[in-house]
Amino acid sequence: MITHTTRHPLVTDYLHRLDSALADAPRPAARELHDQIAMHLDDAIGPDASELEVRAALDQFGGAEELAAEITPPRQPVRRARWVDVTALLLISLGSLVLPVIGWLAGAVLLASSPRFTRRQKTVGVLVWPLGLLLPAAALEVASGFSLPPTLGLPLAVLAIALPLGVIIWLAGSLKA
Amino acid sequence: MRDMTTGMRDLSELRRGVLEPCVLALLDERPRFGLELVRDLDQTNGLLTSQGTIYPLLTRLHGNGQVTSRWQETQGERPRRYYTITDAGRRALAEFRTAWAPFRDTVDQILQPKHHQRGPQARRPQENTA
Repeated sequence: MITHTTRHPLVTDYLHRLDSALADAPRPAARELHDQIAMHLDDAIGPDASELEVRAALDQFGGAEELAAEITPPRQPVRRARWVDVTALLLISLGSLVLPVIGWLAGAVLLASSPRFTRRQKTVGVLVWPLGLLLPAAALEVASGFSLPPTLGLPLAVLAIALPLGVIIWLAGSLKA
Repeated sequence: MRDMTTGMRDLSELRRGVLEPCVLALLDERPRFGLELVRDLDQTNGLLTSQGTIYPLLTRLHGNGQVTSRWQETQGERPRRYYTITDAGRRALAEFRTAWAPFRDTVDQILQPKHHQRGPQARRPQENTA
């Protein structure tokens, strides 16, 4: 994607919202749309434009979500049973406690094949749980009384627990759909 | 106010429907880049509901094979993605042109306020004076 170093912050924010809205769009089309819109906005809005001017220009340009929807195929109604996706989340988070790596792998496969989650959710879900060992390792670190120096071990353990749990809560939000 | 809002919405839908053939017609004249199309269409009595509308449309036309694109650098300016109409695009445009004239005539005919032309008397059934 084209990057621009002197871009107005509101334009940067608009492009971020566009990218989020394009999460389900085909990749080459999404990239083309992003680049074309970024180029148009960079031409139309200078980095020194006032906030009022930028807001007026963006209003005139149209909403990021509406434009993204034009090239995003409508989401199919989810046909997979909810319990399968619940199992996916349980396996990527806790599967490695039962069957190291294999439990996580089964969860990752179920998550990746789910129609309920977006591409971004699947990527984050799989990446934040590297082999599903992060949470067990953090729990072990705490339980063993810190093999690392506490100044390093404690923040790392907190991060290693909070980050995956946050991701699971985020993913669980989609189970309602 | 309610009628006006409905009218504006209808017009917006109408614009959306004709934008695609209009873009193809402009590209049939010569290759253009996105911002150039926005400027050309913006000048034609607000054919664009919003400026950004043109970009998803170009992306879709590209995906459908009705246009192709290539990056081109003109002197002193940054590279632009120029869109060119393809044979498939020309065929779609020709089909639309063939269908548009009778469609437009039919709508014109129906929308014409006939009772105003003939006057209110013309619409009243003749009274029996016998």
